[in-house]
Amino acid sequence: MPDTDLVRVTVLVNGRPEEVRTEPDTALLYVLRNHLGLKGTRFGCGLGLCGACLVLIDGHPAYSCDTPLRAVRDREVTTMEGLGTPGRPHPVAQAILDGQAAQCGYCISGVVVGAAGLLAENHDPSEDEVRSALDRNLCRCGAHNRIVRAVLAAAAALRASR
Amino acid sequence: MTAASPDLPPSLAASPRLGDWLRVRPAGVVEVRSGKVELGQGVLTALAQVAADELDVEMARVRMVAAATGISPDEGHTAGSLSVQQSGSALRVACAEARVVYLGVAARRWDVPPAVLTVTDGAIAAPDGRTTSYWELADDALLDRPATGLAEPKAASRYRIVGTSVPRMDLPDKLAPRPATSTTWSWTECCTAGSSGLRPAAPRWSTSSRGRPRRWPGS
Repeated sequence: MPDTDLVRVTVLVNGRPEEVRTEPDTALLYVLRNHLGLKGTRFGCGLGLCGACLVLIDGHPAYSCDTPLRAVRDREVTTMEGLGTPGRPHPVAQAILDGQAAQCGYCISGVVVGAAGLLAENHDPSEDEVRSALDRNLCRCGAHNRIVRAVLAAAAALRASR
Repeated sequence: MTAASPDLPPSLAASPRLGDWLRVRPAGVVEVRSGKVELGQGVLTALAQVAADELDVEMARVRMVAAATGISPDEGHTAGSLSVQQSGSALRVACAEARVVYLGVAARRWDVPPAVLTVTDGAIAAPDGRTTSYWELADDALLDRPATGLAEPKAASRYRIVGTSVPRMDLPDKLAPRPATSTTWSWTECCTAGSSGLRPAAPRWSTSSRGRPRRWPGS
């Protein structure tokens, strides 16, 4: 492809403006993983179905695998890497650790991002609301009920710290 | 080198060199290798429990080394719920023998029978109060020998860590803000995984129809 088809797009990723030069239709997921090296966001189905690629766009969970780069121009993208810091995971990640609520872990960064998005909007979700929000994420292992309990525990921890 | 005993667990008979299974490091850790792969089933944690109990060290001292073709014992498939049975039995015997090897060094140094020595979290003590440790004695040459199977593993009743529920060793990396796991695949591998076009089918979070995925391929 000739260079003239490439565009420069600036995206705000985890609080940092990142200028990327690529085709405007490139999926955000590939920009995160390949251009920016942020490999916490996973490729699952590539069809916007499984949630392994969830990121927050302006605070709302979105599938990065079918979001073209041009759609996030000058918008704020938050990935797994932007939630928490090394040694101090996001409360959802900490609750999943505390509850041993993951097996293979492939889907789990998408789960953390999706649940973090839920808890940013709803500080006191019911179990039903947590389960509905997590319907964005497919998991083949079987830690589902532990993950639901972990998200509820994280919600309680966040409320206590506010 | 003598031939490996036919009574060794099959994985250990296939890879009899003790140093292929574990390595004592001066920094106070034991590196343990297995040919079984962590897939989320928690096998590395279970195997670390076996190693810790046989060596008389705490779990925090055990570093499980992810299986890699060039350096790990060849244990064939990781499948069939056989990993603890196969790799666990091999590590049980290998670690028991490594403990005997290290105790033998201390016993010769102090001119006492090995049987009077005790090991507590890697610290070796004699009845007269003299102490050393695996870490002080650490020497890869000590385990550069084939297993004989002559060291008696502990009776199950003497295990402190095996049989208890301990936190999974692989989860913190998977939940770190910058995960470093086998799932941080490269672009090429991702494309291969995604090109099958298979319809995902997974357990559901809830029995209601709320919040279903937006669409299925072809529907």
